[in-house]
Amino acid sequence: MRQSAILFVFLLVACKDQRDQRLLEKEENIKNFYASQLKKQVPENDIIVILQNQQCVACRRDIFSSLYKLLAKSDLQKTFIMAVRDTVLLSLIRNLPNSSIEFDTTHKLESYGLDYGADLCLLMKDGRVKKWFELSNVNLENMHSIE
Amino acid sequence: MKQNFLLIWIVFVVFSCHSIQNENETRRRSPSVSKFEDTIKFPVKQKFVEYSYFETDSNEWLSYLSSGYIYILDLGNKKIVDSIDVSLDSIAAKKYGEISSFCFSGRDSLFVLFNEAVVFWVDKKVNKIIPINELDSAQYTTFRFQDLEDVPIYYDRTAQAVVGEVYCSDCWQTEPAFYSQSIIGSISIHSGRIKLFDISYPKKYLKNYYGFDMKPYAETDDSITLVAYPCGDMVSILNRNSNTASSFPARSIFQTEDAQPLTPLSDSGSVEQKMRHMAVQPYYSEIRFDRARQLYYRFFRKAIPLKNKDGTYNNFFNKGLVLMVLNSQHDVIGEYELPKYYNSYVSFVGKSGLYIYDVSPNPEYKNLTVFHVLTFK
Repeated sequence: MRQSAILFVFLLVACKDQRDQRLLEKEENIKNFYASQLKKQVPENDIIVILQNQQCVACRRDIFSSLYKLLAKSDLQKTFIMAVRDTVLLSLIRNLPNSSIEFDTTHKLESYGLDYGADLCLLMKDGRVKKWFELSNVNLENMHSIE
Repeated sequence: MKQNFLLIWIVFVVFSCHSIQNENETRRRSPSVSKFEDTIKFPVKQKFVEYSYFETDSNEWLSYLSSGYIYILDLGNKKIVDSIDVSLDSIAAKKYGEISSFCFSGRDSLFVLFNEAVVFWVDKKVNKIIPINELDSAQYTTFRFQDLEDVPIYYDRTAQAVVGEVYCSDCWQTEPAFYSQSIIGSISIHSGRIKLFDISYPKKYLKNYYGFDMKPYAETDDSITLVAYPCGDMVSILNRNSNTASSFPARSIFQTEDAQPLTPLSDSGSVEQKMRHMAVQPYYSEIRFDRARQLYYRFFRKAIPLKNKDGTYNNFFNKGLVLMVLNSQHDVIGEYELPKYYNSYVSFVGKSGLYIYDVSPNPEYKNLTVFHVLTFK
């Protein structure tokens, strides 16, 4: 019984540790990208959306539509980081309250571990990454709020 | 007497093991053959998302898909000599989906694989449409015929069938069932019947999950289909006439460690984790067969760390590219490190040798299509 409890605690700590490591890594990634490429500090309390996967905007319309609805519910400032100046996305984003856009014109997101084929959403709280996730139908399906 | 038997038995076992080990060990011949290289420039800039090389008695051609047309580039005089409209009207386009692969059989016969049909053009006119996948659920019960990326279709003149990739549409890619099913099939152009061949993934794919490092690479030539896997040292040869598969070892000397599975399995839902895994692991990609010279070419991408010393991250395209050359006895007769801007995805065997597309950002190549043509002696 005691051994099982120890094992359970160990597994819990191990899993937590892994999750935290990924969170910390992503925090380091976004901070480094802001400092080195955008020459500014990462926003303190923001939702950062990285849209680097713009190869086929039309086929990702559903995902973006779901995300847009979630973002519209939030009063937080939203920052979009885009690799390409896509006119369809730009007009949609500009209609979203409290939103701004940054461009990764030199395609440096990948050097900072922020471009591995999936669009990302990061929730910043007090200058730290509180949570992050890949933008996919599965991840957005049951989400009622980003915060 | 008993001791003698024991001794003989031990010797037998040792020799047996030795022979098993040799079967799985890549054979190498030294000294390596010399590599010769030529550069060919075409005065137009092309994007080769879907392409197909073919030759006729007198000429050789490179065809590629662009905006609903298949263009035919004459490799000899470096000019686009023809184009075929393969766009469908809106109703047919909705029904049959998008093009994932195409191939020629001579200049007049064109086979195009859509999501839900194989369409056969003769002299630029649609001659036959064979519904497949969702449109033929009686045949395609638990699998689909599709080029997921690196198994282009091929028209087998003898069997009069289109050969291509099949995969289980009823299985999760994290489950062994996905990897235990046939991966090559052919569709008869007359009856529309599909035949599945006795070839599936190597056993290691049934034991562990390798994320994106699972898509097969294949090349079909005559009655033979060569199949290679990103994490597999072995190359499979499917003889479609006899429906038998064999394999030979072809491990690169630049592979210092075995490919590791993607763990934990919960990462299977993360594109990022799968892309990172793909970036760092040793990875075998395209396989090519040079019938005229009786050579096999296999591309390998080296394992690299996720992060560099300066803290920047690597991706798949930062992996060092290696070309392995094997002779008809499957001995490696040379391995060559190639520049990273050689795009092995757009590579094919022509009359002059192995063509590899150049994607370097060289400003001189801004308005040119550049291929490097490699030969070995």
